[in-house]
Amino acid sequence: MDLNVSNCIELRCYHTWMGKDGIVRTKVKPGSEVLLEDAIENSNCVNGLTQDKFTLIVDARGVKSITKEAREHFSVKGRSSRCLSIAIIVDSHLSRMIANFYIGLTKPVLPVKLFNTEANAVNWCKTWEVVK
Amino acid sequence: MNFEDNRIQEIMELLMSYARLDFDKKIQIDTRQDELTAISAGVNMLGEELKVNSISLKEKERLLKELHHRVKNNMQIITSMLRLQTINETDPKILAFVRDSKSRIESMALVHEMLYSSDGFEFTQLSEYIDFLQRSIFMSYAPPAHKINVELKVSEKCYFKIDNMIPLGLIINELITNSLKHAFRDRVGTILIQAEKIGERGFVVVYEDDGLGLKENFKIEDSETLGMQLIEMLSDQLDAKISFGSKGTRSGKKFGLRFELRI
Repeated sequence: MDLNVSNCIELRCYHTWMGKDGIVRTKVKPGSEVLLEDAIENSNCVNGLTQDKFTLIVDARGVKSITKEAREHFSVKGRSSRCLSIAIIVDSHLSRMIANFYIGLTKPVLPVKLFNTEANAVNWCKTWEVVK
Repeated sequence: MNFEDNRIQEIMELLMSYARLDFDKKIQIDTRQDELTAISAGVNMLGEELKVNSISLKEKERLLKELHHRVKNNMQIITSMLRLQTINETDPKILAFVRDSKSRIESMALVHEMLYSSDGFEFTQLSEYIDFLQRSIFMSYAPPAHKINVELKVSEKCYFKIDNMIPLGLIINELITNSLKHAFRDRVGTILIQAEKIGERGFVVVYEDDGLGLKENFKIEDSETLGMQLIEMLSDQLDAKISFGSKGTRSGKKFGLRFELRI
């Protein structure tokens, strides 16, 4: 994902911004070990980018680990969110393993799907436009 | 994948730690993005999940034990209240009614007591249960200076969950109290309780005493006493076949119970 955007917010483990296509994007910084506080910081930031319902693309390429508490927070269980769906971009065995654990064991309450490319993730997110 | 990679050793050691229920150890994830890094991360996350599940399971076990403890204490309170209400009572009918009720409640409380006192919390061993139960019944019902013996030949393979143990315990309670009340006028005799496991799920329990025996042509379905009605009702609850007779290996009464645990 192109980080050359003017509205990018820098967090400890993430770059986060609103895309011109209305899809919120968050990209993991290389080698990040995501803790609960990073997850909370990220979701607060993401939810603060718009007052409307939105879809989210998470670029998980380069992630090193995400703690169970952080994964639980990202599952959106027991908290309100305007996020409609999450597309996760993975490339390596590691990022795929972490994403699969998140989907399979943490069981997020939103629709979540893995993609190899940003283009495919964007196409999927656009299918949620109708719900907005 | 290089099999001399020491991450394989680390993964195996971590899995052994999990087998010892130690879920705190983790493998350091390095910058390599190969399959072993992914497996290491997966095993780390699996440990985190197992740790939470193991804590939750322990908490559930603790709560279940606490629940059995409270049920047992509440039953004890009920029996104490019954006893207190009869302190100034002289009517032998009322006293007998209270004593029988107390004994029935105590036979159920004993199952709960054994469940929270043991390491496991699901099964009760029949031999241990009957031993405690008969001692408790003897304290209430045995006539003074008696020479009544209890012989237990209960297989150690007989374990029951609470759903089966309570009706079975109540049946044995009724049989022992019946013997102590009616069978041994001369205060001498023997009670024999045998139980064994038959096959995967089958059980046979045989109760005998060498006391006065049952009336001629005794039929449990015709009996009007609460104790016998309870035995019939509780046997139905176990889906058990019951048999009564007065000609066992001894001259008194013989009661047989055969049932299979439901899957």
